[in-house]
Amino acid sequence: MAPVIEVTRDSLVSRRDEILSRLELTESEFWEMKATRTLSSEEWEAKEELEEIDFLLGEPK
Amino acid sequence: MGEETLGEKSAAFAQELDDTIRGVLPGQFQIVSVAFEGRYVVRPAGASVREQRVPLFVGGEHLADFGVQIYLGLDSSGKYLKAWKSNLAVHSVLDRTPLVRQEFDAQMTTSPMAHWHIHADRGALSHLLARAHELRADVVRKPHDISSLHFPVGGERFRPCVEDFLEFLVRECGVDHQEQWEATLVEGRRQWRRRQFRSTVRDLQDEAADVLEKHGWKLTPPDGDRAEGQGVLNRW
Repeated sequence: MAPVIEVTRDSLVSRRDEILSRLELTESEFWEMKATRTLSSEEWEAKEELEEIDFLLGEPK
Repeated sequence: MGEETLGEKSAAFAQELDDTIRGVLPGQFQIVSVAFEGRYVVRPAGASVREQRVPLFVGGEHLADFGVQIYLGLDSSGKYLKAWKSNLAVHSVLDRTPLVRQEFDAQMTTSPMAHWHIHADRGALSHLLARAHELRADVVRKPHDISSLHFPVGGERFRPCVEDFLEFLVRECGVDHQEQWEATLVEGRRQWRRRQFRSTVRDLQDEAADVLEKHGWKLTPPDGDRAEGQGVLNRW
């Protein structure tokens, strides 16, 4: 069986804060930016990670 | 032996995905299930997003990466895991941005649940989108970006599976593959389509019964009202 990696709420929230702080954006600013302009490679990776975190936290955008 | 936990089910699903990809593509990767409170994201392991990829080779040269994430959570019965969302993508190794993406999101409302994004340029299409943006900016928000379009592909039940995407990579993009890749894909696709077919029959029982009766089956409907699964008929 493939490995299951258990994560915590604290680690998810802290990772989300870290990503958004690096981009100097709030989460709503990030999704608005995604809706209106082309993303850079770093922003694509941030999007992938933020989607995963939001889903795991039960807060899909 | 007790009933399989949700975590174990997600691990079994992750292993199935690992076996399928490993049966088709060469390269090093490990599919894992990342878990939090009954929700799971099944994807390649890696400390950073750029490491959470399956390498794609052409003639032994690493030219692109395959990204796959499948989001699992409880279905409406609260007993079984369901794929709520999936992202399949090819990323360039030159700038790490996506080249093509095939996505599914069961909670999509305005855009099609299952769709392709093509990251490409085409002047004539950009011209159309730019004109439309002038008139309907709320509909066409990124006229300069063809990858913002969602090309619809069959809704929840009739969408392509991972095996279809992998076959696209081998047959259309010419990526390196394992010797027995076709057998792996055929087996995986058969399982996927049987599962989707059974779900469709559950959604449209009277339709299924009508077809079976026309083929000589004798069926007795259950008591009570039956509701059709409207999503399978109406949602794009």
